Amino acid sequence: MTLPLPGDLPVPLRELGTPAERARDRARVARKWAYLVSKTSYIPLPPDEVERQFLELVDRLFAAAGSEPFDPEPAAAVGARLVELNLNGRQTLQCTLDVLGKALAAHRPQDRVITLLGSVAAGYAEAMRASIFEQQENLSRALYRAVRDAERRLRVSEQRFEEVFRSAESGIAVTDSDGDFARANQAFARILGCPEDGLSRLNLFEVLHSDDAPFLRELFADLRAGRTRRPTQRRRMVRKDGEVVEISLTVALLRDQDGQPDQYVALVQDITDFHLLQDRLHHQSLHDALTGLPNRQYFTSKLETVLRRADPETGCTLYHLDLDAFSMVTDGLGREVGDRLLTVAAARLESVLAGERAMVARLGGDEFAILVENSPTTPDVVTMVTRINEELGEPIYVGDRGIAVSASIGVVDRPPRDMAIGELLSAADMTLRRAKSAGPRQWELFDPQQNSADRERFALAVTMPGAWEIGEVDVVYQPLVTLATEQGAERVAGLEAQLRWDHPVLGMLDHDRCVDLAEETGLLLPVGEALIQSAAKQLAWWRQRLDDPLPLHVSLTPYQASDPDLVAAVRRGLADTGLGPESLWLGMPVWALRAKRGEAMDNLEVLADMGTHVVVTDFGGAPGDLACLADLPVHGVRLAPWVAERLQRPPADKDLAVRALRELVALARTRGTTVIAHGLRTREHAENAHRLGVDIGRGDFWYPPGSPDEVAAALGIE
Amino acid sequence: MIGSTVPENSDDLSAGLDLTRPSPSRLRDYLLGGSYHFSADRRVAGALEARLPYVREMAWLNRAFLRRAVSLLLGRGVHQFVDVGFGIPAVGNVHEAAQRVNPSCRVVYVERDPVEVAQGELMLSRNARATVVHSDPCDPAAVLGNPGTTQMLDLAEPIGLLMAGSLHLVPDSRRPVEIVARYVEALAPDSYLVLSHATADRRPMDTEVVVETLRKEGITVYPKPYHEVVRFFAGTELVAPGVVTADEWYPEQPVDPAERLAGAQLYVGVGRKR
Repeated sequence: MTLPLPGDLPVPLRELGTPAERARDRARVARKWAYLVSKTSYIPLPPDEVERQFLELVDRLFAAAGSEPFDPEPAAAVGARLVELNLNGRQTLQCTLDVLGKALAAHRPQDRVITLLGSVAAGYAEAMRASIFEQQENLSRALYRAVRDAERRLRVSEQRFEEVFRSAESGIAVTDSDGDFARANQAFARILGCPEDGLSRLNLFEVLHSDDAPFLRELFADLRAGRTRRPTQRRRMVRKDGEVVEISLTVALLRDQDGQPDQYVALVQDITDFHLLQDRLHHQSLHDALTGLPNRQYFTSKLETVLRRADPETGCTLYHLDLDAFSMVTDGLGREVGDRLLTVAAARLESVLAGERAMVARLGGDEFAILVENSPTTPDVVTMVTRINEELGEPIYVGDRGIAVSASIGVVDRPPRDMAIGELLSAADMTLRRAKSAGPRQWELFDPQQNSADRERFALAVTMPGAWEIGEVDVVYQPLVTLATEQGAERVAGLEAQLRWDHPVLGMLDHDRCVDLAEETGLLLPVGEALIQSAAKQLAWWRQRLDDPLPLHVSLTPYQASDPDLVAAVRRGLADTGLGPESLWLGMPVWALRAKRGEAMDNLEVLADMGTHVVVTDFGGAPGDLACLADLPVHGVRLAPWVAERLQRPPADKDLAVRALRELVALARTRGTTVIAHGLRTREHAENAHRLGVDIGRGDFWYPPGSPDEVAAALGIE
Repeated sequence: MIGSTVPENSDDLSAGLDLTRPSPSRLRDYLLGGSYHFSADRRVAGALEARLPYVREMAWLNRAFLRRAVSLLLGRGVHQFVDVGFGIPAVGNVHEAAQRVNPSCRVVYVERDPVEVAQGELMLSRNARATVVHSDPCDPAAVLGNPGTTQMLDLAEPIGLLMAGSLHLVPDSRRPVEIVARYVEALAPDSYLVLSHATADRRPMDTEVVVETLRKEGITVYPKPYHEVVRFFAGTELVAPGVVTADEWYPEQPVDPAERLAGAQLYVGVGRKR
């Protein structure tokens, strides 16, 4: 089977999912885009208005992406709109292309994405040029007014006129009616490239490009006759060295005291730079600004071409690299050092490939890709990988510090010519991940078998919603226990809802496994909502029978915690079952709360406002964790698994970790926060935890997870 | 911290034509992403940014405060504004913010720099409800008595007096508190004073960097402590939350660290004339 080459067949670019999912997707892209670019330039609008505008832009872009026949033109208008919104910062375009590139990357074909991004960049460049030109024009006119006013005041102050004349950045020339220079300033001389004292011998008509001279003659005549015309024009001037300069030209008539035409003032600005801008911006849309290497979009389209045309004998090879411990460099030595490192690494990778038909690209962050179109003399993969790590291993000097790096590499050697590009990229990516899991400076060759194991895992994940539908995946419950000093004084403090998959082939898959699988494909969102719904119903039933307002605990994954629809899902769950919000304890991972975008944080604040109890989970791992407690309306914390594991050991005061742990728990408790630990394995373990200040625990030795009936029996409910 | 320089003692309104020296208003325009600036302004902005990475956020916050304050005043029925912000052409001008919500709003800009007056006249030439008057902002009687002002505004009705980022450029020898008091006195009841002012209270070392860098370029900034900023509001009733830093005044979004640092340089407040 061969796939059509790009351009052979029009493949419409499709978005996946239901209309509601697509709308949510777009809203997410718009929100992210608006947030990131608002850090690159000042937007003079309220945030809700900004977000609305961006949503509209995203809609227009996606509509263009899916248009049949394909018409990228609206994308140019999107680029232009950014300039209208005053988004003209140094990073604005780069940031826009990054966000949109990622948002569109999920769709195919790639060449359409490239064309769209190119159009956005071109529209942006054109609007920037027009906007600069317009503002320059206004500036010229304002300067002219100031000159005119100063001229009037000249009788009062010759000196002030001189000042304007001398210091203006625009070229200013005063000529007689034949165009002979009465005087001109230094800026004019600079644009013309001639010494200032040579200006007096010049004539305005002679320094203009010969094609533009007739226009100037007409303009002089019009002004003399009192006819007005567009005062600023784009024209050309010829420098002393013969080079042609693009200029904006504004001419005005000066009248003498009796109101008779006397002299002309010409204001000139060099606008050659604006044309260069456009080229540069187009380059930017396909290249990484830091290293100058091709970016992901460019690389992907190149990959498609090379894969299809490569010599069937030698084929091509794809290397996917990731610098080891790069984040340690940026965290420890600063971002600038990190940037320098990436630049040097990029140059070295290119040097390794010198002499080969190859492309080195930066895919983002510390990820690089190399595509080699093999020839009979191309070194084999082992040689290539060795060279790459030797080259990178040479210390890079930043200041007086020498830093050596290594890379982990995933290699796909001679992939079949008809392999889909998306599949090829993900094969390289999976191989790289396998290499990384073996430690730094490792490399792996793509192994279809291993790949198929990964695929099975995916297959399992994608069948999960179906399994949920038919009841193979079900909600089970595990009671939580209030710890007490005396044995037997513990009482049930709540019920935690968990997922369990009774798989016909693989047997019982527990909650963590289910969550991993579902999170991998993003399927947990719908399942998660159903979990809250059905657990809340179950709880209402138990409460009636137990006559005890037991709370329900649900742990959210990072993905769920940041889901913009989380609040609505919780509201629905509560409304449908009539449970009070205080009955629900929602666990949110601490590192999702610290993530930059703040979506999880927004959710937390709204949920806490509603009255639900929020528990920060995975607590105790990082220095910022305590700050979360201080800043956010948190009801409880759940210790990270490694922290809970420490509780296994008998508390010895000499154990630093235990001491740190005690401090941590004590600090958390001073704020009235409930401390929870999972995975308690024995009574002794639980006693240790209690001594350290843990309030609530969960352990299979008290109650294992079970179906509603099993739990009811364990709790002694009829 | 941005506006045009105020000479110690001068009524000469044609000052400010020297484009080889940086101007606070063009500096502000540059930081906001406008294009009305010259190499001297960009050089100073670069020098500031090199020592204080969040200097752009300072200009952004001040501008965003002005926009939010205008929107608050619109909600309280104020439809006339006098902007004594020193420096007109910038991004997100008051008439744009106000007329976007209510096209019948009227705005007068007060400006002393002749090039900026010219620029403002051009910008507003097609806007019948906004004008620029060439007058000394430190002379309230002249500003409010200027025919441009009296033709545009009805001074018997409430006015929003906007002094964002301008008063800290006025030396104490010109008695800025009295200037503001005279403005407030001349306005109708239920008029509002919107004010932002540089301070060294929160992060004195950073303030010092700004003040020193600008002083070398001939721009003098006079930061004031909290109690002195509050004195500007004499004769008015402070609107909640009172005088606070720029990032604390009705924030619309979570404040990021750069904004918090930038905000610490600026006190802001809004007062209603009793």
